[in-house]
Amino acid sequence: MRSFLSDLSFLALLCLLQVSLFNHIDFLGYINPYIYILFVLVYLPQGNKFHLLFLAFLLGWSIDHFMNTGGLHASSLTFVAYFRLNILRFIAGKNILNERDFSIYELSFAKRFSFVFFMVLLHTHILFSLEFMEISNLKKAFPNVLFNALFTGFLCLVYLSITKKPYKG
Amino acid sequence: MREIFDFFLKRLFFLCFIFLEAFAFFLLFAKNDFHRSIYKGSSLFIVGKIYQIRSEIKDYFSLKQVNEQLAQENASLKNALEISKNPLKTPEQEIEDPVYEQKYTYIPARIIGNSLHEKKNFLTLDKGTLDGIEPDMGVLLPNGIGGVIISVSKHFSTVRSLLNPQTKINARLKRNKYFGTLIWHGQDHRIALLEDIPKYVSILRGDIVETDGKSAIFPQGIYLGKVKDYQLDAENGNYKIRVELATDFAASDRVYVVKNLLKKEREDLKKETLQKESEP
Repeated sequence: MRSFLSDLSFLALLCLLQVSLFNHIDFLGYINPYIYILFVLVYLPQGNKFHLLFLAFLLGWSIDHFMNTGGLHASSLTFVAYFRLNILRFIAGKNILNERDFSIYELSFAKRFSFVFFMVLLHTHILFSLEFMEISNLKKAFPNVLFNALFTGFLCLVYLSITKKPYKG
Repeated sequence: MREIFDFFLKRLFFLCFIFLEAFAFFLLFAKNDFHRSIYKGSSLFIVGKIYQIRSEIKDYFSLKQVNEQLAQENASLKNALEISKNPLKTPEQEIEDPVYEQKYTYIPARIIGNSLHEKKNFLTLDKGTLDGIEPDMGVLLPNGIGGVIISVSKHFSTVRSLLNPQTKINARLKRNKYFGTLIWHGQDHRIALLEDIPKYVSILRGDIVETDGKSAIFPQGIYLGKVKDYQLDAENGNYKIRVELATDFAASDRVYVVKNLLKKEREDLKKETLQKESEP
């Protein structure tokens, strides 16, 4: 119960930061990092996956509410939350999840780097595909996707290197 | 039973995921005008494609009939040209209507989907926004009125047919210019009712009914049909006139979409007047 409450407060914090701060960065005129994906990234791999799925949906939905985007963020964040463990297994090895108290802080830098960028790129890609819908528009949006993912990934890595203590999910 | 239960239990995580995604998509399409328009456009596109293929097959077998119809139409167009002295420009031809001095453009199109025997009938045309078609334009068949455009995608458009009780056409008696509303009531696809003609007007069987130019959709003076019979409506003291329609929906597949070049000006003026009236 306690961990669920701390999850909720982390979720609220990320939502607040995203809506009030990171949506207004406009780096190079149009790049806003979607740092709320941190919620899925740092959630403990052993944690309850149903919790994660619903909380990811809730977080995406709240951001949709603020940005008036329907179900855009909810859909993309739920998607990465569902495939998170598969991606982690793919990058860090199959047996890694059997270790007790494993968290992504314990990964080597290269693996952590690839995990974060893979997740962020997937999330941003889905987000923009849904937003632009048509292939012709998507071609135009491609640099946007790439820069956005790079920027978001960079910020996530910074967060992971600053906060040494694992976030207890 | 237990196995079915186990099956779902095993895939509960996946089912939750699908449910949440479906809900997110629902929110996306329900809230967002852009996404809704994409959904509507693509569904119209698919339906349009199916109709197109079907009609292409059907076309091949009705070539003879089409040829006759085209010849007939050519003849009437040539007649019109003699009066208006207008050189032919294709595919869009601007015509200064010589008798009534209105300006219309006619866009040729083909019917690729047609319903006749429903309570509410619709047509699908093979032209869309790319060809300059917009909602609320009128549609003419070679021998009368087809209906009014209600929705348009890039390549296709849907027409609310004259054979739809929601379609109301401003019509008048040619002999004495009294006007009323022509509505189809859903029974015989050859008969429509002309309503709101006051009881002091003299009517004869066989009187010609034509369009009245009061709405900006159709040019005035288009032949709609003939008076078949009539009776007095005791409730409001107006005539109910049964009109035998000239339009033969079952035999036509070429249509012209009417674009009124002065429609916007006319509507703007009306809006401006209403605005002035409402100001103190």
